[in-house]
Amino acid sequence: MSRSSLLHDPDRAWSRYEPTGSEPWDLARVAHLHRRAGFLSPWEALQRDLDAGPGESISRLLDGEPRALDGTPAAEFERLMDALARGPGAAGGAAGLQSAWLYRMIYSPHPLRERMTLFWHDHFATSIEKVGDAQLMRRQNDLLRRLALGSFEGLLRSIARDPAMLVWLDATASKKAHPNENYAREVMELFSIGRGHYTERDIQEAARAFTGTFVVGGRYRHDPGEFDDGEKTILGRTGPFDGEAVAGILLDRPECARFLARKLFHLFISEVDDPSDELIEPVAASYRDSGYDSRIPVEMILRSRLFFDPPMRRRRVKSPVEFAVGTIRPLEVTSPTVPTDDLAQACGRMGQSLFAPPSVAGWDGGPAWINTTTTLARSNAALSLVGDSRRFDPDALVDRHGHAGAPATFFVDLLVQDALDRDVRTRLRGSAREVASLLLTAPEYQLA
Amino acid sequence: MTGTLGRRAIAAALLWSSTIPTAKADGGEIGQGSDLLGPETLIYAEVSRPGDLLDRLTGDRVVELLEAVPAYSEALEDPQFGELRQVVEFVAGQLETTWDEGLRTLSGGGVVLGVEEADPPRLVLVVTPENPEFLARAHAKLVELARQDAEEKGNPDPIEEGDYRGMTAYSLSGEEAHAILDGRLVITNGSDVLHAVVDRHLDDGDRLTDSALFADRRPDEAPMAWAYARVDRLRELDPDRFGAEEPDAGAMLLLGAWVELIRTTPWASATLDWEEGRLAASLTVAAPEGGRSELMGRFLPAQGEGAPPPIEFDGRLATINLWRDQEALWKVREELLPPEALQGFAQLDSFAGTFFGGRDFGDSVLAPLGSHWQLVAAMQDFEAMDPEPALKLPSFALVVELDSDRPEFAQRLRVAFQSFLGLANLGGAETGAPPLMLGSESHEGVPISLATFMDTPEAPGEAPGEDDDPDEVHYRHNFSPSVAEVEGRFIVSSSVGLTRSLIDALRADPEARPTDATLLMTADGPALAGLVELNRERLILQNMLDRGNDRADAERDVATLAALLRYLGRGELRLEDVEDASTLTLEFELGHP
Repeated sequence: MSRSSLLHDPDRAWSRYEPTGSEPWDLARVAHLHRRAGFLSPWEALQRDLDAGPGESISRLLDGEPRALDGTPAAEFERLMDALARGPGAAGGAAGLQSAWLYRMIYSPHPLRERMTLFWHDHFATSIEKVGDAQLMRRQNDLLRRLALGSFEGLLRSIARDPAMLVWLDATASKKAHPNENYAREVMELFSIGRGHYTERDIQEAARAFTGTFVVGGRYRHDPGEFDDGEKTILGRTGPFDGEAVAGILLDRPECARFLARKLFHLFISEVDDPSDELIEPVAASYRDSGYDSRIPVEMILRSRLFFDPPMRRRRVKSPVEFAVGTIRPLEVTSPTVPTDDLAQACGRMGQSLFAPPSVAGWDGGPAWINTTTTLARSNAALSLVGDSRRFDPDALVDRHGHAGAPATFFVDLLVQDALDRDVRTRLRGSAREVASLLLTAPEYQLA
Repeated sequence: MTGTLGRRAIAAALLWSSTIPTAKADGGEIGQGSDLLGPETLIYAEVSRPGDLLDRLTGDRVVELLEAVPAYSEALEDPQFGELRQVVEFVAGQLETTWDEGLRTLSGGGVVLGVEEADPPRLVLVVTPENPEFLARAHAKLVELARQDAEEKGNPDPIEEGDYRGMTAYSLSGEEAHAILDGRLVITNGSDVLHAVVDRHLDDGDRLTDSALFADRRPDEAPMAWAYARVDRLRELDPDRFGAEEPDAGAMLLLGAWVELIRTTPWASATLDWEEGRLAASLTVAAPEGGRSELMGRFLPAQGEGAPPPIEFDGRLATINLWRDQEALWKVREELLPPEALQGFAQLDSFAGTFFGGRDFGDSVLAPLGSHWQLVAAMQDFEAMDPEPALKLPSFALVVELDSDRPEFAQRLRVAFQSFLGLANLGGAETGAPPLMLGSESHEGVPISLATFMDTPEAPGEAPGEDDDPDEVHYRHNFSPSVAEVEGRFIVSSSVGLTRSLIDALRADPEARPTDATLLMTADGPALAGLVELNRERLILQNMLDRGNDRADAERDVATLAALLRYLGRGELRLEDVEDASTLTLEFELGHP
């Protein structure tokens, strides 16, 4: 696997990608964009964006489509999905929430926002297994979605008052006499500046700033009587800080934007390359300079030459949710789609139960997604989908998109593009269903 | 002219008619098809009045139902359906009739299906027309069209013809053979089977109609359709199917007598009647010749002392009314149930001690309860609820007889109710659910113990920046558990409103006569459809998750469910067990979708 020379050249790496004769806007690049910034898309969307060019295509991903995959206008779809999560989703506990979110991802007119919501869910990892209350988890998920491509500052301040997070970190009653250090520790280590940039003393002092925090009846409450209003020294600054002030201090630290930019690099570019500080700094600076508007670094990454550089393709292992949703969408298994309760269980067997990350650090991700058990689960899920003749008609799909008689060509172009060796590609034969099965269970397909 | 579907339609229609010269060309008497079957028939089914069946299928109610089902209008738009309709109309036009009139004339004398014992089993379908001449003409036309269609497409003749004992037998494939015999269409699963039928008829061989067993089973007044099966012989031929695994404890306790019957019955029969406003079906399973076992006899009530009649009150959705002497069954549990189930039941003894102060579940809990058990579901006054739950559930109640010799037991039950609530509150404290507050009220002089969910108190402190994102009102607000004792019965209900209604109803008819049924279930389709409508939005969303439908398809599914419930109207399922047979009857007073 070759490495991109751009990894050592920040200026060129983050310069805007413009199609050229040697770097054309081709199907492989379009699919790469949709795979990384969404969940891969149906053939028509790929073809449309192939014609439209990178500028328009990326803007569309950032802004969202006007209609969901089932044709519902975007705003109406989002209202419907909110009702779905609030009603049967939350009433169904963990399974209901998982099911409702997967349904939303499958049909979403704004797949990038759902990808970013999933990213923040992993970043601010909170599990219903401890929180217990599905409505709290739903509210947190709504918060993550609302600010998924918006203000990280708003997200960081809101998450400090998020009941699900406070229950998760045993911080539902932080009193002046007994400050709870859990949230103070995680906000530094996992949410903002990362390990190595703070001391135990900073945590103890920050914990005092978060006193007066309570969760009562599933709602955040601040009790001024239990707030420690004395002076604290946190990361070199002194004052009678409260939780809001701590967030400001963290956001002002240069490590914060770098920490987040590095995570975005792993999300969109590569999880096998460890970027240098020099490579990360331009993205971090854009984030910082924008006042922590998450759309800015995301857009910078998606429009960059580095993002579209061929060696950067398939530098990530698809998470189970990416794998599942990213298979259903391009195969157009949408009328009807699979029962998302079953899909959530399948994702669980593959190692990813939404709303139930294994720890405060989220999912390990990367190569950890792949082991003998999860590989078998991926194959079973793929074969189950392809074998569901009520929902999936591969011949009709191939015919509909003008590839009658050439299922191998169609499914390679749709699902893996340039991932297969020419030799493998020429040996790929069989019925449309057989070809789809072979590709979905191929090692190359497990990579994003 | 016709496509694949058209050819299939012609082929199918051929199975309804024939043009060959009949065995009795002078026109013998048209009779029921059963006389063409042999005495070794194991399964027999008959539609005695196909015309009535067609009337029902094309009647106003069914048409209304179909029109209320969105999927139906979509199916009408389907091009394949359009092609099929064109073919059917074309064929009917050629015969100078309409499709339904043609079908009536072809099958008006009855349709009979028999499965005769052989290896492989012999299938014989006999269709008796109202007018044999029309049958002949229709078959001729269909054969002509099928052959013409094949010729136009350059295909070989799809219909084989052959003579057998002076008549012509036809075959559309090696797996089917048919002929007209004595003015009736006989379709079989092979030429040898057809020959056997013809031989039996022409040689006056033994017939099913000569069998006393068959004659005894046949209903005196022919229903629209009926069927019977020689279960004893089927069991001998396929013991694996009838010797299935031991039923689990729940199935045995609920259906014990039927479990034994299925293993020992010599025969079973079924009927179907469908009138304009009524649909009824029944299944009768005979007791073994030696009678039922003493053990299973404990599942049977004495004559006229069966399940209690359904309690009458406004808002009733469904009822289950059961006669079951639980104490008698408890005493023989070791004979009824496997050891692993008995282990679970042993825990009930400790349960009896914890909640009822007794040492034995049978003596201390089941013995003071009578044999009449009733489960009731009712609509609630949701608008009067504060807060009104988003998911609107019916209320449920269990009504059980109390032994008048154990007056203290009702108090025991009240204490147990309070203990349960205490446990529920302990569990709720762990999950943050609001606690249940105990209370009491008196309704018509009857004390009711009840509990309601406590309102969530306003939390102290400030809520800076909290967004306006209310959760949906939890479904727990459908419940206000309550218990009461009235007229020798104890009520355990999910809502105090239902408890009040039941007190009024039981007071109004305290000595309702028991029915002859062991089990009697009722359901009010239109009322259930009303509940569906109340929860329409929620059901649509749930359907999207459960079935993967988009909203439009989910709306169609929910509309179909509501229309079906309205159409089925009021339903009743009745299980009657007498010494020589058990009968399950299902009856609907049909409504309008």
